[in-house]
Amino acid sequence: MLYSGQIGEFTGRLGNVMSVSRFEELMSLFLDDEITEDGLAELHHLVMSSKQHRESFQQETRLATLLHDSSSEQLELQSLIPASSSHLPPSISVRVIAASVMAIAALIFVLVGSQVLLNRSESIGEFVRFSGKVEIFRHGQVQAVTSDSKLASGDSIRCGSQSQTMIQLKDRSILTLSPLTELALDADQRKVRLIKGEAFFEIAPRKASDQPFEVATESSTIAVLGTVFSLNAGQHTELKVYEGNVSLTRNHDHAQVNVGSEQMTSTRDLKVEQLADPTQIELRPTDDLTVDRGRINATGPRLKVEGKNRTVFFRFDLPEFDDVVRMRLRLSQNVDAGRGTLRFFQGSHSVWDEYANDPSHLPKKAAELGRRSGVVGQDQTILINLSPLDYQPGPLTIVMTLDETGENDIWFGAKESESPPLLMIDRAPK
Amino acid sequence: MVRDYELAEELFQETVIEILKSEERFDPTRRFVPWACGIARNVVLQHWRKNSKVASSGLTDLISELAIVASEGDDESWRQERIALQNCVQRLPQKMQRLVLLRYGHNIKGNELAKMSRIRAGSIRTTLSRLRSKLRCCIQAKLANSPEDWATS
Repeated sequence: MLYSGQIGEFTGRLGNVMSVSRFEELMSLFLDDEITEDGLAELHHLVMSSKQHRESFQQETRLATLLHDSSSEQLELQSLIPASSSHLPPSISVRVIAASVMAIAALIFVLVGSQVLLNRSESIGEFVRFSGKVEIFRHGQVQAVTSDSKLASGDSIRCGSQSQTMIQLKDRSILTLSPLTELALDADQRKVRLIKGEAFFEIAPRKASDQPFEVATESSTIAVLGTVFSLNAGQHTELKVYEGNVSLTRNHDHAQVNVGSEQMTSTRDLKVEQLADPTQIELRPTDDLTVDRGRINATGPRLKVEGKNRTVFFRFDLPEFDDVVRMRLRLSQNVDAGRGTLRFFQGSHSVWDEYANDPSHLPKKAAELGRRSGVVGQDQTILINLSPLDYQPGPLTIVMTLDETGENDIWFGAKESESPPLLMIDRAPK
Repeated sequence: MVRDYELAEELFQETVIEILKSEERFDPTRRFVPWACGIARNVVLQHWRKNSKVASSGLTDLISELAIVASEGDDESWRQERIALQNCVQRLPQKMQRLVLLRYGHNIKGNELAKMSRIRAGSIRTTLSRLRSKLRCCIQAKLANSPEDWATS
Protein backbone atom coordinates (compact mmCIF):
# COMPACT_ATOMS: atom_id res chain seq x y z
CA MET A 1 0.00 0.00 0.00
CA LEU A 2 1.20 3.47 -0.78
CA TYR A 3 0.83 6.25 1.75
CA SER A 4 -0.29 9.64 0.55
CA GLY A 5 3.27 11.01 0.87
CA GLN A 6 4.59 8.15 -1.21
CA ILE A 7 1.80 8.61 -3.76
CA GLY A 8 2.72 12.27 -4.05
CA GLU A 9 6.36 11.39 -4.52
CA PHE A 10 5.50 8.69 -7.04
CA THR A 11 3.22 10.94 -9.12
CA GLY A 12 5.83 13.70 -8.89
CA ARG A 13 8.47 11.37 -10.27
CA LEU A 14 6.06 10.11 -12.93
CA GLY A 15 5.28 13.70 -13.90
CA ASN A 16 8.97 14.41 -14.06
CA VAL A 17 9.61 11.40 -16.31
CA MET A 18 6.74 12.43 -18.56
CA SER A 19 7.96 16.01 -18.80
CA VAL A 20 11.49 14.79 -19.61
CA SER A 21 10.13 12.62 -22.39
CA ARG A 22 7.94 15.46 -23.69
CA PHE A 23 10.87 17.83 -23.39
CA GLU A 24 13.03 15.52 -25.49
CA GLU A 25 10.31 15.28 -28.11
CA LEU A 26 9.94 19.06 -28.26
CA MET A 27 13.71 19.55 -28.42
CA SER A 28 13.93 17.14 -31.31
CA LEU A 29 11.13 18.93 -33.17
CA PHE A 30 12.73 22.30 -32.47
CA LEU A 31 16.18 21.22 -33.66
CA ASP A 32 14.70 19.76 -36.83
CA ASP A 33 12.67 22.93 -37.46
CA GLU A 34 9.40 21.06 -37.25
CA ILE A 35 8.01 22.58 -34.08
CA THR A 36 4.66 24.37 -34.09
CA GLU A 37 4.00 27.68 -32.39
CA ASP A 38 2.18 25.89 -29.58
CA GLY A 39 5.09 23.47 -29.27
CA LEU A 40 7.53 26.36 -29.09
CA ALA A 41 5.49 27.94 -26.32
CA GLU A 42 5.46 24.63 -24.42
CA LEU A 43 9.21 24.24 -24.85
CA HIS A 44 9.73 27.81 -23.65
CA HIS A 45 7.64 27.06 -20.56
CA LEU A 46 9.62 23.90 -19.75
CA VAL A 47 12.97 25.66 -20.23
CA MET A 48 12.00 28.64 -18.09
CA SER A 49 10.44 26.58 -15.29
CA SER A 50 13.01 23.83 -14.74
CA LYS A 51 16.72 24.10 -14.10
CA GLN A 52 17.23 20.60 -15.51
CA HIS A 53 15.44 21.43 -18.75
CA ARG A 54 17.23 24.74 -19.01
CA GLU A 55 20.60 22.99 -18.80
CA SER A 56 19.55 20.33 -21.30
CA PHE A 57 18.28 23.03 -23.65
CA GLN A 58 21.60 24.87 -23.39
CA GLN A 59 23.57 21.69 -24.10
CA GLU A 60 21.43 20.72 -27.07
CA THR A 61 21.29 24.14 -28.67
CA ARG A 62 24.97 24.83 -28.07
CA LEU A 63 25.77 21.61 -29.93
CA ALA A 64 23.42 22.57 -32.78
CA THR A 65 24.92 26.07 -33.00
CA LEU A 66 28.44 24.70 -33.07
CA LEU A 67 27.45 22.11 -35.69
CA HIS A 68 25.93 24.83 -37.88
CA ASP A 69 28.98 27.00 -37.36
CA SER A 70 31.67 24.44 -38.05
CA SER A 71 29.80 22.83 -40.98
CA SER A 72 29.22 26.22 -42.63
CA GLU A 73 32.86 27.04 -42.10
CA GLN A 74 33.86 23.76 -43.73
CA LEU A 75 31.72 24.61 -46.75
CA GLU A 76 33.19 28.11 -46.92
CA LEU A 77 36.65 26.62 -46.94
CA GLN A 78 35.72 24.11 -49.64
CA SER A 79 34.44 26.96 -51.77
CA LEU A 80 37.57 29.06 -51.32
CA ILE A 81 39.97 26.75 -53.10
CA PRO A 82 38.14 26.35 -56.41
CA ALA A 83 37.25 30.05 -56.37
CA SER A 84 40.85 31.17 -56.17
CA SER A 85 42.01 28.86 -58.93
CA SER A 86 39.00 28.96 -61.24
CA HIS A 87 38.59 31.32 -64.13
CA LEU A 88 35.88 33.28 -62.38
CA PRO A 89 36.75 36.94 -62.70
CA PRO A 90 38.65 38.08 -59.61
CA SER A 91 36.59 41.25 -59.53
CA ILE A 92 33.61 39.10 -58.65
CA SER A 93 35.18 36.31 -56.69
CA VAL A 94 37.53 38.36 -54.58
CA ARG A 95 34.73 40.03 -52.68
CA VAL A 96 33.18 36.69 -51.94
CA ILE A 97 36.52 35.23 -50.92
CA ALA A 98 37.53 38.20 -48.82
CA ALA A 99 34.11 38.36 -47.18
CA SER A 100 34.21 34.64 -46.44
CA VAL A 101 37.69 34.85 -45.02
CA MET A 102 36.76 37.83 -42.86
CA ALA A 103 33.53 36.23 -41.71
CA ILE A 104 35.27 33.00 -40.80
CA ALA A 105 38.06 34.87 -39.06
CA ALA A 106 35.58 36.99 -37.11
CA LEU A 107 33.55 34.02 -35.99
CA ILE A 108 36.58 31.98 -35.10
CA PHE A 109 37.92 34.91 -33.14
CA VAL A 110 34.75 35.20 -31.15
CA LEU A 111 34.09 31.54 -30.59
CA VAL A 112 37.64 30.49 -29.98
CA GLY A 113 38.53 33.51 -27.90
CA SER A 114 41.26 35.91 -28.84
CA GLN A 115 43.37 35.44 -25.78
CA VAL A 116 43.45 31.71 -26.28
CA LEU A 117 44.96 32.02 -29.72
CA LEU A 118 47.94 33.81 -28.32
CA ASN A 119 48.46 32.35 -24.91
CA ARG A 120 51.17 29.92 -25.93
CA SER A 121 54.32 31.84 -26.63
CA GLU A 122 55.83 29.09 -28.80
CA SER A 123 52.80 28.95 -31.08
CA ILE A 124 52.89 31.29 -34.06
CA GLY A 125 49.57 30.26 -35.52
CA GLU A 126 46.99 27.56 -35.76
CA PHE A 127 44.88 25.56 -38.14
CA VAL A 128 41.49 27.19 -38.60
CA ARG A 129 40.31 24.33 -40.80
CA PHE A 130 41.73 21.37 -42.61
CA SER A 131 40.34 18.57 -44.70
CA GLY A 132 41.97 15.40 -45.95
CA LYS A 133 45.56 14.54 -45.15
CA VAL A 134 47.53 17.58 -44.01
CA GLU A 135 50.97 17.07 -42.47
CA ILE A 136 53.42 19.13 -40.45
CA PHE A 137 57.16 18.61 -40.79
CA ARG A 138 58.85 19.63 -37.56
CA HIS A 139 62.46 18.88 -36.57
CA GLY A 140 62.65 16.09 -39.13
CA GLN A 141 59.46 14.43 -37.88
CA VAL A 142 56.20 14.19 -39.78
CA GLN A 143 52.91 14.47 -37.94
CA ALA A 144 49.34 14.51 -39.18
CA VAL A 145 47.45 17.69 -38.38
CA THR A 146 44.68 17.32 -35.80
CA SER A 147 42.10 19.83 -34.65
CA ASP A 148 44.35 21.01 -31.82
CA SER A 149 47.62 21.20 -33.79
CA LYS A 150 49.57 24.44 -33.40
CA LEU A 151 52.16 25.98 -35.66
CA ALA A 152 55.71 26.71 -34.61
CA SER A 153 58.58 28.58 -36.26
CA GLY A 154 60.32 26.45 -38.87
CA ASP A 155 57.31 24.17 -39.49
CA SER A 156 56.47 23.05 -43.01
CA ILE A 157 52.88 22.28 -43.91
CA ARG A 158 52.04 19.91 -46.75
CA CYS A 159 48.61 19.26 -48.30
CA GLY A 160 48.01 16.00 -50.17
CA SER A 161 46.18 15.69 -53.47
CA GLN A 162 42.76 15.64 -51.80
CA SER A 163 43.46 18.00 -48.94
CA GLN A 164 43.43 21.68 -48.15
CA THR A 165 43.84 23.84 -45.11
CA MET A 166 43.39 27.32 -43.75
CA ILE A 167 45.85 28.65 -41.18
CA GLN A 168 45.85 31.82 -39.14
CA LEU A 169 49.12 33.38 -38.07
CA LYS A 170 49.65 35.25 -34.85
CA ASP A 171 49.28 38.62 -36.60
CA ARG A 172 45.82 37.48 -37.87
CA SER A 173 46.98 36.95 -41.45
CA ILE A 174 45.11 34.07 -43.06
CA LEU A 175 46.72 31.63 -45.48
CA THR A 176 44.71 29.10 -47.45
CA LEU A 177 46.63 26.23 -49.01
CA SER A 178 45.29 24.33 -52.03
CA PRO A 179 45.82 20.61 -52.65
CA LEU A 180 49.42 19.59 -53.44
CA THR A 181 50.82 22.70 -51.80
CA GLU A 182 53.76 22.93 -49.44
CA LEU A 183 54.56 25.99 -47.36
CA ALA A 184 57.28 26.60 -44.76
CA LEU A 185 57.14 29.04 -41.86
CA ASP A 186 60.36 30.92 -41.32
CA ALA A 187 61.86 31.44 -37.89
CA ASP A 188 61.15 35.10 -38.54
CA GLN A 189 57.38 35.21 -38.12
CA ARG A 190 56.83 37.68 -40.94
CA LYS A 191 58.25 35.35 -43.58
CA VAL A 192 56.90 32.22 -45.25
CA ARG A 193 58.20 30.13 -48.12
CA LEU A 194 55.84 28.69 -50.74
CA ILE A 195 57.76 25.60 -51.79
CA LYS A 196 55.21 24.40 -54.32
CA GLY A 197 51.55 24.67 -55.22
CA GLU A 198 49.01 27.43 -54.82
CA ALA A 199 48.10 29.51 -51.79
CA PHE A 200 45.74 32.38 -51.14
CA PHE A 201 47.00 35.07 -48.76
CA GLU A 202 45.09 37.64 -46.79
CA ILE A 203 47.83 39.55 -45.03
CA ALA A 204 46.80 41.63 -42.02
CA PRO A 205 47.39 45.37 -42.56
CA ARG A 206 50.75 46.72 -41.41
CA LYS A 207 51.92 50.23 -40.72
CA ALA A 208 54.25 51.79 -43.28
CA SER A 209 56.96 51.79 -40.62
CA ASP A 210 56.58 48.01 -40.05
CA GLN A 211 58.64 45.42 -41.85
CA PRO A 212 56.65 44.01 -44.79
CA PHE A 213 55.38 40.46 -44.78
CA GLU A 214 57.45 38.36 -47.17
CA VAL A 215 56.62 35.30 -49.21
CA ALA A 216 59.50 33.56 -50.95
CA THR A 217 59.23 31.07 -53.79
CA GLU A 218 62.02 29.34 -55.65
CA SER A 219 62.04 32.06 -58.29
CA SER A 220 60.88 35.20 -56.46
CA THR A 221 60.34 37.14 -53.26
CA ILE A 222 57.09 39.00 -52.59
CA ALA A 223 56.86 41.82 -50.07
CA VAL A 224 53.50 43.14 -48.84
CA LEU A 225 52.16 45.52 -46.25
CA GLY A 226 48.66 44.07 -46.02
CA THR A 227 46.71 42.84 -48.98
CA VAL A 228 44.87 39.95 -50.62
CA PHE A 229 46.62 37.90 -53.26
CA SER A 230 47.28 34.41 -54.56
CA LEU A 231 50.54 32.78 -55.59
CA ASN A 232 51.15 29.74 -57.71
CA ALA A 233 54.67 28.40 -57.38
CA GLY A 234 55.59 26.14 -60.28
CA GLN A 235 58.42 26.52 -62.75
CA HIS A 236 57.55 30.21 -62.68
CA THR A 237 55.74 32.06 -59.93
CA GLU A 238 52.36 33.50 -60.88
CA LEU A 239 51.07 36.34 -58.73
CA LYS A 240 47.49 37.64 -58.76
CA VAL A 241 46.73 40.67 -56.59
CA TYR A 242 43.10 41.23 -55.63
CA GLU A 243 43.53 44.11 -53.17
CA GLY A 244 46.44 46.38 -52.25
CA ASN A 245 49.93 46.46 -53.71
CA VAL A 246 52.59 43.80 -53.89
CA SER A 247 56.24 44.10 -54.82
CA LEU A 248 57.72 41.03 -56.57
CA THR A 249 61.47 40.54 -56.98
CA ARG A 250 62.75 37.88 -59.36
CA ASN A 251 65.54 36.00 -57.61
CA HIS A 252 67.97 35.26 -60.44
CA ASP A 253 68.36 38.85 -61.72
CA HIS A 254 66.82 40.88 -58.85
CA ALA A 255 64.45 42.55 -61.33
CA GLN A 256 61.53 44.06 -59.42
CA VAL A 257 57.97 44.86 -60.38
CA ASN A 258 55.08 46.43 -58.45
CA VAL A 259 51.71 44.78 -58.96
CA GLY A 260 48.56 46.67 -57.97
CA SER A 261 44.99 45.75 -57.23
CA GLU A 262 43.30 43.57 -59.90
CA GLN A 263 46.62 42.94 -61.63
CA MET A 264 48.75 39.86 -62.23
CA THR A 265 52.28 39.00 -63.26
CA SER A 266 54.60 36.04 -63.72
CA THR A 267 58.34 35.63 -63.11
CA ARG A 268 58.49 34.37 -66.71
CA ASP A 269 58.43 37.92 -68.11
CA LEU A 270 57.41 40.23 -65.21
CA LYS A 271 54.76 41.68 -67.48
CA VAL A 272 51.95 43.26 -65.44
CA GLU A 273 48.46 42.59 -66.82
CA GLN A 274 44.92 43.32 -65.75
CA LEU A 275 43.22 40.36 -64.12
CA ALA A 276 39.95 40.93 -65.93
CA ASP A 277 39.77 40.88 -69.68
CA PRO A 278 37.71 43.97 -70.67
CA THR A 279 36.38 42.19 -73.76
CA GLN A 280 34.75 39.55 -71.55
CA ILE A 281 31.86 40.60 -69.34
CA GLU A 282 30.28 38.32 -66.80
CA LEU A 283 26.80 39.13 -65.55
CA ARG A 284 25.01 37.70 -62.56
CA PRO A 285 21.25 37.37 -62.84
CA THR A 286 19.15 40.10 -61.27
CA ASP A 287 16.61 37.41 -60.34
CA ASP A 288 16.49 33.64 -60.33
CA LEU A 289 14.04 31.12 -58.95
CA THR A 290 12.81 27.55 -59.13
CA VAL A 291 9.18 26.67 -59.73
CA ASP A 292 8.91 23.46 -57.74
CA ARG A 293 5.72 21.46 -58.28
CA GLY A 294 3.75 24.65 -58.94
CA ARG A 295 5.24 26.59 -56.03
CA ILE A 296 7.80 29.38 -56.36
CA ASN A 297 11.02 28.94 -54.44
CA ALA A 298 13.16 32.05 -54.77
CA THR A 299 15.16 31.86 -51.56
CA GLY A 300 18.12 29.68 -50.81
CA PRO A 301 21.39 29.10 -52.53
CA ARG A 302 20.28 26.47 -55.06
CA LEU A 303 18.32 26.22 -58.30
CA LYS A 304 16.79 22.81 -58.96
CA VAL A 305 15.76 21.39 -62.30
CA GLU A 306 13.85 18.13 -62.71
CA GLY A 307 11.53 16.73 -65.40
CA LYS A 308 8.09 18.25 -65.24
CA ASN A 309 8.42 19.01 -61.53
CA ARG A 310 11.02 21.76 -61.39
CA THR A 311 11.81 24.54 -63.85
CA VAL A 312 14.36 27.31 -63.36
CA PHE A 313 14.02 30.94 -64.41
CA PHE A 314 16.89 33.43 -64.78
CA ARG A 315 16.54 37.13 -65.50
CA PHE A 316 19.52 39.21 -66.66
CA ASP A 317 19.83 42.90 -67.49
CA LEU A 318 21.91 43.14 -70.65
CA PRO A 319 24.03 46.29 -70.96
CA GLU A 320 24.08 48.64 -73.97
CA PHE A 321 26.67 46.91 -76.16
CA ASP A 322 26.64 46.89 -79.94
CA ASP A 323 29.68 44.65 -80.48
CA VAL A 324 28.69 41.37 -78.79
CA VAL A 325 30.01 38.32 -80.62
CA ARG A 326 29.06 35.52 -78.24
CA MET A 327 26.95 34.79 -75.17
CA ARG A 328 27.28 31.75 -72.94
CA LEU A 329 25.52 30.72 -69.76
CA ARG A 330 27.77 29.28 -67.09
CA LEU A 331 26.21 27.11 -64.34
CA SER A 332 27.91 25.33 -61.45
CA GLN A 333 26.54 22.13 -60.01
CA ASN A 334 25.73 22.40 -56.33
CA VAL A 335 25.11 19.44 -53.96
CA ASP A 336 23.04 17.17 -56.24
CA ALA A 337 24.53 15.79 -59.46
CA GLY A 338 22.40 14.24 -62.20
CA ARG A 339 22.01 13.59 -65.89
CA GLY A 340 19.73 14.27 -68.82
CA THR A 341 19.13 16.87 -71.49
CA LEU A 342 19.06 20.41 -70.20
CA ARG A 343 17.19 22.79 -72.52
CA PHE A 344 17.33 26.55 -72.44
CA PHE A 345 14.57 28.76 -73.80
CA GLN A 346 14.15 32.49 -74.15
CA GLY A 347 11.29 33.65 -71.90
CA SER A 348 8.19 35.11 -73.54
CA HIS A 349 8.63 38.28 -71.43
CA SER A 350 10.81 39.62 -68.61
CA VAL A 351 8.22 41.40 -66.51
CA TRP A 352 8.80 39.40 -63.35
CA ASP A 353 11.11 39.25 -60.37
CA GLU A 354 11.93 36.69 -57.73
CA TYR A 355 9.34 38.14 -55.36
CA ALA A 356 6.63 36.88 -57.70
CA ASN A 357 4.09 34.73 -55.93
CA ASP A 358 1.98 33.48 -58.81
CA PRO A 359 3.76 31.04 -61.14
CA SER A 360 1.14 31.61 -63.85
CA HIS A 361 2.51 35.16 -64.32
CA LEU A 362 6.02 33.91 -65.10
CA PRO A 363 7.20 33.91 -68.74
CA LYS A 364 6.41 30.95 -70.98
CA LYS A 365 9.03 29.11 -73.02
CA ALA A 366 9.67 30.74 -76.40
CA ALA A 367 12.55 30.09 -78.84
CA GLU A 368 15.07 27.44 -77.81
CA LEU A 369 18.50 28.97 -77.21
CA GLY A 370 20.59 25.90 -76.52
CA ARG A 371 20.74 22.45 -75.00
CA ARG A 372 23.20 20.14 -73.30
CA SER A 373 22.98 16.39 -72.80
CA GLY A 374 24.87 14.09 -70.46
CA VAL A 375 26.00 13.90 -66.87
CA VAL A 376 26.52 16.95 -64.68
CA GLY A 377 28.93 15.67 -62.05
CA GLN A 378 29.93 16.81 -58.59
CA ASP A 379 31.27 20.40 -58.62
CA GLN A 380 31.13 20.45 -62.43
CA THR A 381 30.70 23.73 -64.26
CA ILE A 382 28.85 23.67 -67.56
CA LEU A 383 28.89 26.27 -70.30
CA ILE A 384 25.96 26.61 -72.69
CA ASN A 385 26.42 28.50 -75.91
CA LEU A 386 23.53 30.90 -76.48
CA SER A 387 24.73 32.11 -79.87
CA PRO A 388 21.39 31.89 -81.69
CA LEU A 389 20.13 34.71 -79.57
CA ASP A 390 20.23 38.16 -81.11
CA TYR A 391 21.74 40.42 -78.52
CA GLN A 392 19.20 43.00 -77.35
CA PRO A 393 20.11 45.37 -74.50
CA GLY A 394 17.61 45.26 -71.65
CA PRO A 395 16.07 42.44 -69.63
CA LEU A 396 16.39 38.85 -70.81
CA THR A 397 14.69 35.80 -69.31
CA ILE A 398 16.12 32.31 -69.75
CA VAL A 399 14.03 29.25 -68.79
CA MET A 400 15.86 25.99 -68.04
CA THR A 401 14.26 22.52 -68.13
CA LEU A 402 15.47 18.92 -67.80
CA ASP A 403 13.95 15.88 -69.46
CA GLU A 404 14.88 13.46 -66.67
CA THR A 405 13.12 13.11 -63.36
CA GLY A 406 13.55 11.48 -59.92
CA GLU A 407 17.13 10.69 -58.96
CA ASN A 408 18.49 12.48 -62.03
CA ASP A 409 17.46 15.97 -60.91
CA ILE A 410 20.30 18.50 -60.98
CA TRP A 411 20.95 21.37 -58.60
CA PHE A 412 22.96 24.45 -59.52
CA GLY A 413 24.23 27.38 -57.48
CA ALA A 414 21.76 30.29 -57.34
CA LYS A 415 22.81 33.93 -57.45
CA GLU A 416 23.04 33.97 -53.64
CA SER A 417 25.54 31.10 -53.66
CA GLU A 418 29.32 31.03 -53.89
CA SER A 419 29.01 29.70 -57.44
CA PRO A 420 26.30 31.82 -59.06
CA PRO A 421 24.98 31.51 -62.61
CA LEU A 422 26.92 33.80 -64.94
CA LEU A 423 26.05 35.10 -68.37
CA MET A 424 29.37 35.44 -70.19
CA ILE A 425 29.35 38.07 -72.89
CA ASP A 426 32.23 38.28 -75.36
CA ARG A 427 32.69 41.59 -77.16
CA ALA A 428 34.70 42.13 -80.30
CA PRO A 429 38.33 43.08 -79.52
CA LYS A 430 39.08 46.78 -80.09
CA MET B 1 -0.97 34.55 -40.22
CA VAL B 2 2.03 33.16 -42.09
CA ARG B 3 3.23 29.86 -40.67
CA ASP B 4 6.27 31.72 -39.41
CA TYR B 5 7.11 29.23 -36.68
CA GLU B 6 8.64 27.05 -39.40
CA LEU B 7 11.59 29.40 -39.27
CA ALA B 8 12.00 29.16 -35.52
CA GLU B 9 15.14 27.05 -35.46
CA GLU B 10 16.93 29.00 -38.22
CA LEU B 11 16.04 32.31 -36.68
CA PHE B 12 17.10 31.04 -33.29
CA GLN B 13 20.53 30.07 -34.70
CA GLU B 14 20.93 33.46 -36.34
CA THR B 15 20.10 35.19 -33.07
CA VAL B 16 22.49 33.10 -30.98
CA ILE B 17 25.32 33.70 -33.47
CA GLU B 18 24.59 37.44 -33.47
CA ILE B 19 24.80 37.56 -29.68
CA LEU B 20 28.04 35.55 -29.68
CA LYS B 21 29.60 37.69 -32.41
CA SER B 22 29.01 40.96 -30.65
CA GLU B 23 32.13 42.48 -29.18
CA GLU B 24 30.11 43.78 -26.26
CA ARG B 25 29.69 40.22 -25.08
CA PHE B 26 33.15 40.75 -23.61
CA ASP B 27 32.20 43.95 -21.81
CA PRO B 28 32.02 43.04 -18.10
CA THR B 29 30.45 46.35 -17.19
CA ARG B 30 27.21 45.50 -18.98
CA ARG B 31 24.61 43.12 -17.66
CA PHE B 32 24.29 40.22 -20.05
CA VAL B 33 20.57 39.53 -20.13
CA PRO B 34 19.11 43.02 -20.83
CA TRP B 35 21.79 43.67 -23.42
CA ALA B 36 21.36 40.27 -25.12
CA CYS B 37 17.61 40.78 -25.06
CA GLY B 38 18.03 43.96 -27.13
CA ILE B 39 20.16 42.19 -29.72
CA ALA B 40 17.87 39.15 -29.88
CA ARG B 41 14.71 41.19 -30.44
CA ASN B 42 16.46 43.26 -33.10
CA VAL B 43 17.58 40.22 -35.05
CA VAL B 44 14.17 38.58 -34.88
CA LEU B 45 12.23 41.70 -35.80
CA GLN B 46 14.62 42.62 -38.60
CA HIS B 47 14.20 39.16 -40.03
CA TRP B 48 10.45 39.45 -40.28
CA ARG B 49 10.64 42.99 -41.57
CA LYS B 50 13.06 41.88 -44.29
CA ASN B 51 10.75 39.07 -45.29
CA SER B 52 7.66 41.30 -45.17
CA LYS B 53 5.99 38.97 -42.73
CA VAL B 54 4.27 39.89 -39.53
CA ALA B 55 5.19 37.68 -36.65
CA SER B 56 3.13 37.50 -33.51
CA SER B 57 4.90 39.42 -30.77
CA GLY B 58 4.54 36.34 -28.59
CA LEU B 59 6.61 34.31 -31.02
CA THR B 60 9.29 37.00 -31.24
CA ASP B 61 9.59 37.01 -27.47
CA LEU B 62 9.74 33.22 -27.24
CA ILE B 63 12.58 32.96 -29.77
CA SER B 64 14.45 35.90 -28.25
CA GLU B 65 14.28 34.51 -24.73
CA LEU B 66 15.31 31.02 -25.80
CA ALA B 67 18.24 32.46 -27.77
CA ILE B 68 19.42 34.33 -24.68
CA VAL B 69 19.28 31.15 -22.58
CA ALA B 70 21.28 29.34 -25.27
CA SER B 71 23.94 32.07 -25.45
CA GLU B 72 24.66 31.97 -21.74
CA GLY B 73 27.89 30.39 -20.62
CA ASP B 74 31.40 31.69 -20.75
CA ASP B 75 33.49 31.87 -23.90
CA GLU B 76 35.87 29.28 -22.56
CA SER B 77 33.12 26.61 -22.50
CA TRP B 78 32.13 27.49 -26.07
CA ARG B 79 35.75 27.31 -27.14
CA GLN B 80 36.38 23.95 -25.48
CA GLU B 81 33.23 22.40 -26.87
CA ARG B 82 33.97 23.70 -30.34
CA ILE B 83 37.42 22.10 -30.40
CA ALA B 84 36.06 18.85 -28.96
CA LEU B 85 33.21 18.80 -31.46
CA GLN B 86 35.51 19.13 -34.48
CA ASN B 87 37.49 16.20 -33.19
CA CYS B 88 34.34 14.14 -32.55
CA VAL B 89 32.85 14.86 -35.99
CA GLN B 90 36.05 13.76 -37.69
CA ARG B 91 35.76 10.40 -35.96
CA LEU B 92 32.26 9.75 -37.28
CA PRO B 93 31.77 7.32 -40.18
CA GLN B 94 31.81 9.01 -43.60
CA LYS B 95 28.06 8.60 -44.02
CA MET B 96 27.38 10.40 -40.74
CA GLN B 97 29.89 13.15 -41.57
CA ARG B 98 28.01 13.69 -44.82
CA LEU B 99 24.73 13.82 -42.92
CA VAL B 100 26.18 16.50 -40.60
CA LEU B 101 27.36 18.55 -43.58
CA LEU B 102 24.04 18.29 -45.40
CA ARG B 103 21.92 19.07 -42.36
CA TYR B 104 24.01 21.74 -40.68
CA GLY B 105 26.18 23.10 -43.50
CA HIS B 106 23.67 23.09 -46.36
CA ASN B 107 20.70 23.37 -43.99
CA ILE B 108 18.77 20.63 -45.77
CA LYS B 109 15.93 19.08 -43.84
CA GLY B 110 13.15 16.50 -43.83
CA ASN B 111 12.55 14.26 -46.82
CA GLU B 112 15.13 16.02 -48.93
CA LEU B 113 17.76 15.31 -46.28
CA ALA B 114 16.65 11.68 -46.06
CA LYS B 115 16.91 11.28 -49.82
CA MET B 116 20.32 12.88 -50.09
CA SER B 117 21.80 11.06 -47.13
CA ARG B 118 20.21 7.76 -48.23
CA ILE B 119 18.43 7.30 -44.92
CA ARG B 120 14.82 6.18 -44.72
CA ALA B 121 12.56 9.23 -44.42
CA GLY B 122 10.80 7.78 -41.39
CA SER B 123 13.99 7.41 -39.40
CA ILE B 124 15.83 10.60 -40.28
CA ARG B 125 14.78 12.43 -37.10
CA THR B 126 15.78 9.48 -34.91
CA THR B 127 19.12 9.20 -36.73
CA LEU B 128 19.82 12.90 -36.20
CA SER B 129 18.79 12.67 -32.56
CA ARG B 130 21.10 9.68 -31.99
CA LEU B 131 23.88 11.43 -33.85
CA ARG B 132 23.58 14.51 -31.62
CA SER B 133 23.46 12.32 -28.55
CA LYS B 134 26.60 10.49 -29.65
CA LEU B 135 28.39 13.77 -30.29
CA ARG B 136 27.29 15.12 -26.93
CA CYS B 137 28.69 12.05 -25.16
CA CYS B 138 31.93 12.31 -27.15
CA ILE B 139 32.31 16.01 -26.25
CA GLN B 140 31.60 15.34 -22.58
CA ALA B 141 34.11 12.49 -22.53
CA LYS B 142 36.77 14.65 -24.12
CA LEU B 143 36.17 17.54 -21.75
CA ALA B 144 36.15 15.23 -18.73
CA ASN B 145 39.31 13.37 -19.70
CA SER B 146 41.75 16.17 -20.33
CA PRO B 147 40.53 19.52 -19.08
CA GLU B 148 44.08 20.84 -18.70
CA ASP B 149 44.89 20.06 -22.32
CA TRP B 150 41.86 21.90 -23.58
CA ALA B 151 42.60 24.90 -21.42
CA THR B 152 46.09 25.32 -22.77
CA SER B 153 45.84 24.05 -26.34
